[in-house]
Amino acid sequence: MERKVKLKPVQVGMWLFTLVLFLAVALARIFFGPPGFYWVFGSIQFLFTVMHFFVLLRTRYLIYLIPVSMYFLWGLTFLPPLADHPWHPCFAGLSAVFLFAFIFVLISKRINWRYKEILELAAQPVKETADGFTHRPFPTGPANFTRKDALGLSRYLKKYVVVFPFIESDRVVLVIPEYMWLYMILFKKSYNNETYVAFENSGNVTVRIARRDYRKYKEELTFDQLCVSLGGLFKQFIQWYVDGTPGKILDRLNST
Amino acid sequence: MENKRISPFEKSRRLAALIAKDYAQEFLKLLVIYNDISASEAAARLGIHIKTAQDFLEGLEREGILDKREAAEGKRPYFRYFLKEQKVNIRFDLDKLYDPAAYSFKMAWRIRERKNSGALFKESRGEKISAVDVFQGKGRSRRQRRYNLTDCQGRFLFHLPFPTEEPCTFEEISRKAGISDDCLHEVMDIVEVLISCGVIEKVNR
Repeated sequence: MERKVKLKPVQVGMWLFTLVLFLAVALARIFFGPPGFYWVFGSIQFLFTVMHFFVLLRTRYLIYLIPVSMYFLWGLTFLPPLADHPWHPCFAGLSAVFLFAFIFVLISKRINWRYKEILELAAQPVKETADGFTHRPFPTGPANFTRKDALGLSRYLKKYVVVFPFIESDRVVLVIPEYMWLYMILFKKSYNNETYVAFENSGNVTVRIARRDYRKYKEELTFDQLCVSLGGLFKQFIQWYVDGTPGKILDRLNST
Repeated sequence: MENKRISPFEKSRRLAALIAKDYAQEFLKLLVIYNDISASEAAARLGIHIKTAQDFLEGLEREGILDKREAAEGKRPYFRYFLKEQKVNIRFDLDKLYDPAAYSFKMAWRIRERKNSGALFKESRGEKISAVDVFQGKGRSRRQRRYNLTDCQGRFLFHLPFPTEEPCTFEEISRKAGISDDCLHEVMDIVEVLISCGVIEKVNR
């Protein structure tokens, strides 16, 4: 049965960022000719190399070596000073290999931001639209886990860029940001205005949905039901983790 | 003068306000020394304005510390004041300011957060709210008021039902929040304030 999409278009900022890059490349070509194009395009590849390298360091997920290598080799391929380098054909050939690998990784959703999937999954069971938004966190009740389990789940979900965790003395907070880059690369320290799920040391699970994320829904879903659903989703995640089947988490996210 | 019935707290407040004047001690000393005294005599003796002396004397007379008699010594009639009481006691029972029994029926109120209240809840560690920002008024007259919460109040509000949830009684929420009985009155206080601000609503069955 086809599920109804409940979210409006999200992560528009990334499309704008991409558009800006395209414009930069186009303007460089127009004003400075082919050398300008190659310089700007090559520089952008090195910028992406650095960005993905930071993600590799933060997640320790070796699959990010593929985009890191791809972008690095593209940078070497397109930068004008290396155009006559004896290894230039190798750079180009290898970058193509990594490109195919990267496409495969993307299609198989091994690298994917999960913001949209999480919000969609949380919304699926909610049928009523009575609004009722509030800034308060919602206590969803207890779950069967220990702090060690919560820490383990946080590491697992961070590795696959599902959440960004904040480890606090009395709880583990799993932040679900729209733009993971802010945390992965720019080292953002605060989650004040973000949606999160917190696993308290007391065994309770607390959910807070940010207003900005609530407004991403097409309808004004009944807020407490939405919170219950999001809390229930993560309770299921930690149960799978505790049971030794964390792969089911990614399967669930990929099912949207 | 007919005495209106005033609360002990109000009576004590008025008396304390009189005695707090910086000339009060010297003035009362005069009243002890003199058989009786007029406002003009006291003003001249203390170096204060006659209206100030008059107000002080009338205030003490109203509180029953002084008495007065009319005098007319070749001039237009005026009052002379003399001590009626030798001891001034300022005492009131603080427990009279709050009657716990009157609030017992409020424990059965069914409450929840009001929809679109606009209030901002500041989170704190340990499943509680540390402060509530309430916005009142519109446009330029819109005002923000912050209520900093005690531990009990914060835990209570953390477990307050959401606007779209079924309302719960005061007792049910307190039990969920693990609040002891000795905290209930301070929690009730903030609940009443937030009801008046439109942040919390009472729901009839």
